[in-house]
Amino acid sequence: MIFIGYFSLPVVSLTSFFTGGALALQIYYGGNQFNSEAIVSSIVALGITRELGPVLGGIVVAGRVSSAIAAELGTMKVTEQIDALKTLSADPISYLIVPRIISGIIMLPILIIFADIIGIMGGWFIGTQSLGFNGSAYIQNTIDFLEVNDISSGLIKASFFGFIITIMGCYQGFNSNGGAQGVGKATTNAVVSASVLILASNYIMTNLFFAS
Amino acid sequence: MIKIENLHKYFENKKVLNGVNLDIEEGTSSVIIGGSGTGKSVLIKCILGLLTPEEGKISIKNNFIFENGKFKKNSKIKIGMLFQGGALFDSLRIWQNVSFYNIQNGKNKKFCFEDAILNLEKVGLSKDVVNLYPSELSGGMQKKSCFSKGYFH
Repeated sequence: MIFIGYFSLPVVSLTSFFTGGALALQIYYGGNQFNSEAIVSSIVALGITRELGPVLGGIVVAGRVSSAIAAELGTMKVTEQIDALKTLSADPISYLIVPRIISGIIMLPILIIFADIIGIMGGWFIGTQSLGFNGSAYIQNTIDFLEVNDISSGLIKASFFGFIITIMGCYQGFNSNGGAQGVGKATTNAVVSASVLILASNYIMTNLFFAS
Repeated sequence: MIKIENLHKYFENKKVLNGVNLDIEEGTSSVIIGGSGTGKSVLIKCILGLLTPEEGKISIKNNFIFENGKFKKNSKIKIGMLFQGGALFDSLRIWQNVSFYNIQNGKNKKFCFEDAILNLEKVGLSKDVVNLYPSELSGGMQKKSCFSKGYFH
């Protein structure tokens, strides 16, 4: 849990902060610059909580955690440590895989709560420092515009992404073979498959949550 | 005793074990000798349940653990194994490796720690190594620790 959650916080925070800032700039320069304070704050909040927070956070964590899990389990597989577990009557599934999956499902939404807050603050920072917005009005607009559904849908997505990230890391690591080269291949496959599945499942969940 | 009847194991098209029959009496030592790639490790892994044979029977102490193409559910095979590469758990200290079976079975930490020291002394390792990680030991010391882990559980 500490590895997946706490140690991923810096990279997720940085990603979210700069994404929020860039989003604010794009909306400001791309749209009507007059009376844009309410529009920028609301679209940044919506974009971060519903989509960019969970998706970018998920992909960043996939790069960090899925690869580490695949490398760790892959090394255990090729050095016969998983076989050794079995001979000591320990079930590798419940000893190695289940705790990682539970950690992913719990920690990703917690990380994304931070990502949401920091992403919105990124937009606020650029808005107040570069675009000349009023800081308190920006925050008030954000609070007025956001609904519980916007945040909860992002957190549900994050939880599912946590499952994808850990299950792909475990699957690729557990099925690696062929020594160091096999572990390297498993690590790459874990990150690629987790990232693609995050993007695909994000589309499906967005459709489920907001299409009706 | 360990009894093996007509054991077959294939890897894709390669037949590694072709009708192996073997009886090992309790309290005896047996050695399996053969050229590289002739299936010595495969045979041992089949007995331990790490590989599933295609057909044949394996019984340990007159209980069939493998027959009709599958291992019996919940058949606890309590056999120690010294793996070729050691297979010590990298993330655990030596005493946790040696006492892994006891820790998994809920024995208290103090007992597990003292038991590990005792077992390590039996293979000629001092208690200075108990708190080290496998990567901090020499190859020979790792092998001894692994023997201790496999033999004394």
